Amino acid sequence: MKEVDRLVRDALDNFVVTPPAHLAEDISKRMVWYNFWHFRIFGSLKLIVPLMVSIIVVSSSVFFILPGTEQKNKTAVSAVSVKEVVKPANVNASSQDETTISIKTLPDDDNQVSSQSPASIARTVNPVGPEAVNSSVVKVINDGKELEEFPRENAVALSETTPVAADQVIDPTIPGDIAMIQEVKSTEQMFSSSNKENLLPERISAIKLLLLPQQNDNRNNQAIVSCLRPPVNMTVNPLFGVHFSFSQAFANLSDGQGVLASKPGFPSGSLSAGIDYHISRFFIESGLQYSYFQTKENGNRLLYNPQIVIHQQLAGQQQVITSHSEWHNTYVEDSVLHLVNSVLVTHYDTSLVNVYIPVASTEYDTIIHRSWKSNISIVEIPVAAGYKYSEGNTEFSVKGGVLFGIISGSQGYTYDKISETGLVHFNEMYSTREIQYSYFISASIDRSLTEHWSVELSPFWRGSINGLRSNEGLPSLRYNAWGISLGIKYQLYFWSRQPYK
Amino acid sequence: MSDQEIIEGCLNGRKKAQDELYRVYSGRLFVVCLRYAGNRPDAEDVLQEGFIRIFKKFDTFSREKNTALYPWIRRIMVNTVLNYLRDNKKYRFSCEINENNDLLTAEAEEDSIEDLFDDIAPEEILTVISELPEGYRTVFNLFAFEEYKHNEIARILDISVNTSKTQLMKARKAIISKIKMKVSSVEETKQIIR
Repeated sequence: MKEVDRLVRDALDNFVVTPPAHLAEDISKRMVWYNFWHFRIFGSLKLIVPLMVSIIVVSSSVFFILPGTEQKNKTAVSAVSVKEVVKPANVNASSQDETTISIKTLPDDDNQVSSQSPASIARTVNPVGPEAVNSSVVKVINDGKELEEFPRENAVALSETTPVAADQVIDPTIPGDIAMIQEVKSTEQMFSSSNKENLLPERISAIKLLLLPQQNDNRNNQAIVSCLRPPVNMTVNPLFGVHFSFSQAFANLSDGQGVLASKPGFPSGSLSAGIDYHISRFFIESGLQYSYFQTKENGNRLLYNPQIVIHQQLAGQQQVITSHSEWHNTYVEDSVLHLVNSVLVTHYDTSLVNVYIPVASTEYDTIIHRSWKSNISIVEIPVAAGYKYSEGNTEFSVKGGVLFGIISGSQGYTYDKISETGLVHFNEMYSTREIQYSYFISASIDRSLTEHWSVELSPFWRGSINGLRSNEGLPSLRYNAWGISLGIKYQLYFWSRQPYK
Repeated sequence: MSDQEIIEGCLNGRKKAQDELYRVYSGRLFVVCLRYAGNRPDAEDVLQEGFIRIFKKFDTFSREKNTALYPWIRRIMVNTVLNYLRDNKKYRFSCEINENNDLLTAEAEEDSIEDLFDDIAPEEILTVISELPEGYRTVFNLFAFEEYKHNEIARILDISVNTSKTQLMKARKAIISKIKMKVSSVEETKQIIR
């Protein structure tokens, strides 16, 4: 008998039966999405996440390690009080741990001072190095001659008085730099009318005033004045915003059974908080946002779907035919509810077969109410990149990116049905909570109202990458939307060197 | 495309390599599915699920040293079909067998079995296997093709060792019986033609 095993095995081991062609296509379709997410997106994330972490770590390191950055932080926190901190120094200090500030082009007479441009005067003060932070005494030397010395706390303030590097080109078209030049002008006046040795600390003090906010400060200047100052031209700005969207939303039934069209979902909108990181006019942005969308379609077109059920009792040679009508899953298209599943064949064991024979459905107007509803809430983390351009208090930007989020929603329909007891209201809603991946692009106009508050108008398009699957046989919903969002935004300036323009 | 190229491609999620893997092995694996599932629709479902699992779990293949590709994917396919049968409660370890056809004695079988298999095509043998009751079929496949021992089969199918032995014995008898019937009908057809 054991020979049977071998004979069967030999006969079938290399025997081949070609599977139907559609199987390969089905597998291929399923693997397209799997490959996309697991090899492309997640593969990319493996690259992107370390890259982002590296950028943050390097940026932070640069911020804390480069000369004077720590002092800038301290000063920036209380920028307005800086003026009080800096005083002419007449403090005796020990000579150890001394730091030297070299003033290379100190003018010899009043005429020379007045002939110099404010910008060049500003450049005459070299940045205070990290030694200023660690030393107890700072000496000011002009051409090798010691002029003054300061206690360390004044040196801390001095570090803030050097907004331009020795080799930095001052662009008078940038508002922040204009403010600085104005302050240097006032320094010239003091300098030209006094004994330079006595007034030198005051002169430096005056240069320090460059960092103070102007009286008619706008948002960009505020960015220079009141935030922490990194050593390179970039900004990191937390954003808190509330946006209300007027949007046309629509959903695709992903299994190809039709398209659900809907009216603009109102009210729909989003709350968001995030942070953006600027380098020049380019920025990357991330955060957290909550969005809510609603779609609803009402109608009084009734779809009646009569069916015949045949109960066949094979063993007993008994056949019973009864008529049966039933509502089935439907979708809305052109304001008409359409049938999705009309045929149901159920096998119970092998002895009893219930066969549902479909009969053509009928549509007719009725007073019976039906509606399709879809409520969707999405909590998302957007990761976007974009480009900004400012003109006065108005900022124009375009951005695009991906959204990773959790979508929770309900979809289904409510309807009235005539029963023996009268009109009965049914509410068949199916809820779900799933991971949602989307992409979006938007353009926006942002008008600043105050230093921190602004309004934003933004046309947008967002598309769902994966569908919202439904329970109990409802087709998968792929949520897309376009529209215009109107928002109000509160923006902090957290870490900024030079405002984007 | 060589097996090594298919492996590397599948590890990198390349569709071309996945298509090639399917093209090369789907025919043999479909036979495996037919042997276990017993009908074509179920076998098609299992084949699809099995290939999805193979592609998704391909990274585990690279971690298994000294494993050839086909045995590995066949093992996944067999596991898939067993899960499928288990989930769909397809195991039925029936005891009945058509006694009218169970006329063969052990001695007679030993002499004629090999001759019987000479006269029958592989697709007919596959049909015979497919027509076996689920319990017979599953145990026979695991024992004859996957070369599991009875205690392993008992553990996999959550049955007793004795049940496994009984099902195997009855499966063998049923196979011989059905093959003999098919051969007989072929012989009768040939005689009628003559």
